[in-house]
Amino acid sequence: MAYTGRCACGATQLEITAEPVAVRQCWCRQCQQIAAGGPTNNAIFPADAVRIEGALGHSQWRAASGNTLTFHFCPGCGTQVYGQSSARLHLKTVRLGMIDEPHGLRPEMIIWTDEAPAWACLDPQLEQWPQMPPAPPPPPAP
Amino acid sequence: MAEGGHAGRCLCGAVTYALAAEPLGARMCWCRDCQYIASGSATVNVLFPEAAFRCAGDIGTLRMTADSGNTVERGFCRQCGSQIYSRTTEPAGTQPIRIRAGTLDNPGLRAPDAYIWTDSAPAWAPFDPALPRYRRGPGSARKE
Repeated sequence: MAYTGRCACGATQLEITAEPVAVRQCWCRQCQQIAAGGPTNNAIFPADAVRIEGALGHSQWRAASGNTLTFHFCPGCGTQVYGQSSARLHLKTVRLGMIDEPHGLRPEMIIWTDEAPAWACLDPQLEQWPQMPPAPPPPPAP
Repeated sequence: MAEGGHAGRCLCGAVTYALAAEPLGARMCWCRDCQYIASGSATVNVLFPEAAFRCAGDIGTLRMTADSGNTVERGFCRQCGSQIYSRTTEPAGTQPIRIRAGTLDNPGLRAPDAYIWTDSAPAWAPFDPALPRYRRGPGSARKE
């Protein structure tokens, strides 16, 4: 198994059997709302490699792209577990705080820097996009 | 909203709050417990007198022993999980309430003045070199 994880209260458990497609940090306003003021840090995995135990709550927002972003969280502690775009159901975007350390994953790209507060500290070494990044490659043909 | 105060809400709007005071300070916390609820970031916390905080809506709470040894209560929206606040319940009345900056209507209201619990920050964590980094709680040894 590649990765394991849990939420802050332990009611939600996570197992991941693949390496991430990408790891990136998002400063969009909605992410700041669900991430206690900072950016979300997201490891994007093939959806079928992510197994979750425990009841999840979910909510949604409409992204600037027009896609619906559904995000799932532990109802016992509010920890965000993963998000998913209606345009990319083959991927699950797992919140980095959920994954047990040491995992060696780190953000490689920062997106939606236009919406970061003036005090935000962004790693200048990382690729940055003012809003959405380019679309990820399509899933492999079956 | 009270005149001169501040307001905020969770992402979905099921929880709203008002703060009838100005911030006492702000800081980012890299304790591991905060990284869980901050999607792998530090929480960004704006400090207010607890008596100035009024909250309405479907709020869930979780009590836990923080790395400091204090008992803290974390409040979050039960409909979307957005973290709203952390307050110290034991010892009570000793600490300002910590409002999660992402839920303030103006998340830029108060720039953080310090980092705390940097000993548990991930290797990739970016730090503003102008701000003090406390290895543990506020006032603990600094990392230079």
